[in-house]
Amino acid sequence: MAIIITLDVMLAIRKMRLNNLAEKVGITPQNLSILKTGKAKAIRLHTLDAICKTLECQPGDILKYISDDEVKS
Amino acid sequence: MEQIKRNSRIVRIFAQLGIYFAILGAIFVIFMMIETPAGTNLSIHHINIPMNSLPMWDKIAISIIIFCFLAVFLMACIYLKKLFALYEQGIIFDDKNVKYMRGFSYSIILYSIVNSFSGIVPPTHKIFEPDLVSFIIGVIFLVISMVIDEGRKIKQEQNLTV
Repeated sequence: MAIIITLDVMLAIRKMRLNNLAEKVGITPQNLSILKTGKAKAIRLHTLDAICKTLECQPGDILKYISDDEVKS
Repeated sequence: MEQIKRNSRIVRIFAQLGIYFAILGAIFVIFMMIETPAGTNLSIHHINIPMNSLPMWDKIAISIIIFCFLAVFLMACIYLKKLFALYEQGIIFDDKNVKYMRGFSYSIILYSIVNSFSGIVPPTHKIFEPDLVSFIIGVIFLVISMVIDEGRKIKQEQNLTV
């Protein structure tokens, strides 16, 4: 998929653990792990809103678009 | 969900009884073929056949047809039992659900084929009498299994929505 999740980068910048974020956002660490590893098929706006609020960032900071050509190279 | 589990338990028990019935039926047929009591009639396609007057080969042909019926019935019961055992555990829209539903529909289609050719035995001499009702029911169940497969895909996607 051309959308990649850079949640791990944002967590490292904020020096926050996945479990802490899950607790603050109000979702299970397993679900957040699915998001972090890029296995997620969709993300609810509500979840995105909560993550952005907790990490004090924009959606663009945790979601990146890479074109198919870039993925292949 | 509790209601599904409760009702599934009842259907599962009936399917289990069906399995026992098919096994007992097979044993009964073997006994009947070895030593047929006097005055025993068998009804195939609404034709009564006196079993005692039949030659050995005709008896064997009839028992093969009956075994085919019992095998298909057993197959349907096993698939139903497995399917409703899953529902009883609260497992719905799973890979196995689709597999067992598909197996059940194939067994109904197979039943319609066996029933269509059941008149082939020597005393009746009806070569082919199509059983369209069973065939259509089997196809309906096959389509339902495809719908369940689509539901499974939606559930899988839902599980990966954060």
